[in-house]
Amino acid sequence: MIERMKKEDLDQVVEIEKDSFDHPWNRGYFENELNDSEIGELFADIENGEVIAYGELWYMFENCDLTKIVVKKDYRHRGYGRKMLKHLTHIAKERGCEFMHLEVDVKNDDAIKLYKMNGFTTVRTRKNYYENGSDAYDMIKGLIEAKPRKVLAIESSCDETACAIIDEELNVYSSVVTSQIDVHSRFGGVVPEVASRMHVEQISTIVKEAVEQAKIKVEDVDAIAYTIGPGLIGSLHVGGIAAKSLAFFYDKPLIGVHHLKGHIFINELIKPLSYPVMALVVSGGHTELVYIENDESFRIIGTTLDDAIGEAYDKVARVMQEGYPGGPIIDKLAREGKAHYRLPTPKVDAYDFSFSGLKNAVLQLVKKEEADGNEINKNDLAYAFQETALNVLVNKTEEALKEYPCRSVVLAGGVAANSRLRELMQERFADHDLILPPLKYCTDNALMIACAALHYLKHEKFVDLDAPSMPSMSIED
Amino acid sequence: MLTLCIDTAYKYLTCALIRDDQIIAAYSKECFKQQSEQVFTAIKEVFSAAGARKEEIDSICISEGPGSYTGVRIAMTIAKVIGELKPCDVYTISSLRLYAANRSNCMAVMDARADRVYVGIYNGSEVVMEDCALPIKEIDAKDYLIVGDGALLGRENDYGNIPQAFLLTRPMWKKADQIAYLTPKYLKESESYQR
Repeated sequence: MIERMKKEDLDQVVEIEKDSFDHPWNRGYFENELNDSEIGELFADIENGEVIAYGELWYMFENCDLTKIVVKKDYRHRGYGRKMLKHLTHIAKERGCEFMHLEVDVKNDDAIKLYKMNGFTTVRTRKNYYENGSDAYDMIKGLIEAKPRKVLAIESSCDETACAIIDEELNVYSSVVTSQIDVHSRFGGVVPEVASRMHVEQISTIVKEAVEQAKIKVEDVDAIAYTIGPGLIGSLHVGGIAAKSLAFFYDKPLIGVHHLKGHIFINELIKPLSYPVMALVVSGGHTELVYIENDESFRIIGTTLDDAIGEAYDKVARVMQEGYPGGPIIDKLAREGKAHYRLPTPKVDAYDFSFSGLKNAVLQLVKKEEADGNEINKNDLAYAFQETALNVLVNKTEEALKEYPCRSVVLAGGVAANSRLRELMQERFADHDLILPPLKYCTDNALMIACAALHYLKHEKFVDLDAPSMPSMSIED
Repeated sequence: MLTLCIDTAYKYLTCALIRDDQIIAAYSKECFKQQSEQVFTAIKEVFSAAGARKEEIDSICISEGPGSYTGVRIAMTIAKVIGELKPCDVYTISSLRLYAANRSNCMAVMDARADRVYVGIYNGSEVVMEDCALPIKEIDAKDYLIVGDGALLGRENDYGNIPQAFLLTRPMWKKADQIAYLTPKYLKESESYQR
């Protein structure tokens, strides 16, 4: 255990000192340091009464000199040096020092390596520093670590009100989401005015909860982010005004995040993206293949010409009278289904998508079966629709990767929660760095906005307090 | 005591800073449907005109509606978020009552679309008829001073001096006990609610 050195340790210390150096410090020096030195502090690592290692710090204002670390011969190369160094660094920080400085013999490779591993850098060489004529390195380490910056993000683009706090090292402080899904499912879809009203009801509670859960104050965050678009205009307004209120009253920079960048960058909570990245963005409002050259360059190489994939799921579920939202319902039915019905595969040029024809084909099939007096097997119909629709997505992604080779392939958006789509992605893109978002982050949340906001923060892309919400903003903007 | 007053409910964007019993800065411009972009410009302006620091405010007073749905949500969102987080006190006042201020025998009206109006009747500090939404043809205006969208009833539009109205109606401000539960007074169910 490392403690401040005591008089009774001195016999052993002096012995170790003699054993370690050609020019050891004598007993009087140590006694002097223990008795009345105002700037020096000695520490010893003692196990069962045996001194294993010792070290000394000298304090000079904001600087701290590490004068020596010595490990008893029999105990070297067993981590005692590192342990002592860590302890002394900790003490120096506690004493309010900003820098730690030391000199080390340029030939003492082990010590130099230890210091480098622990954040010291060489700042100069002192010629003939030691009595034996050896040179010394001056090494320093800054003790004030730049704290990772924190972002508070608000999401309100559709029917989830959410707030989250994250820092640059991707430590998640909090993520609070409330969904209005129960209310909207009564209408069979999101009703914009209802959504806006519910956002206003929830907003302050959600933000407050996120701040409280994070155990920080709004003053402690470094930027406020919100979804600037795309989304429902009335819903976007509420989150935007809330974010601007915080940015204004707490003097924080404001970041307007593109909603789909959030869906893409939440994948960084799994692992870092390797550029270029191909993102298949699939949700109730979007079906896009996005080629991402770096975190500032997004190019839509394919998009839906009519319905978004999630919308198609909703409509098909409605045709089957199975309720809302359609995605999870059809996914579940399809699990029990088999190849039975045949649906036409939508044919669209290049990497674009179309799902309205497929939806109509489902409708026609249902009508025909009814006219023929056949009962529809819902599981099989769900299977046919899901297989057809999802294979289009995966095939197009595969095609796109031939023209736009990418390292990472990411799935993003609400439909990324679909179990069959995740399976297909894993089957087809095993040879890529494939990243699937965790299920809990597929639906809208503020953590994803916070993850994307970190990139805006890095590039200092801020917006003003009069920035308008952009309901139909493109990811390329 | 420093209170930030905000009205974004309808045609105007109004911000005022009231210290003790005086308006120390005010901003009021016609800004229909532009409030959400302009509101912080206006708030910034009143703080700098007053030479006040935003840390000094200890309360916010907003008009709670009726008005444009989007409009009433703006001031409400600011008040809820800042009221809860800073925290500070939040007061609300009817946007119709702001038009009436402390005037006597006063009917305040506002276009509610579809041949209806939001209407409230005030006599000084007294509420003669609570704010509600009524068909225009049911409004009997002849005994009243008409404020707000008077043109709908064949009179002049008159929105008064809204910053001044905040000060004059101060005894009538309602203090929010639970800021989290504040909601705008839409007075009409959303059409889409009724689907």
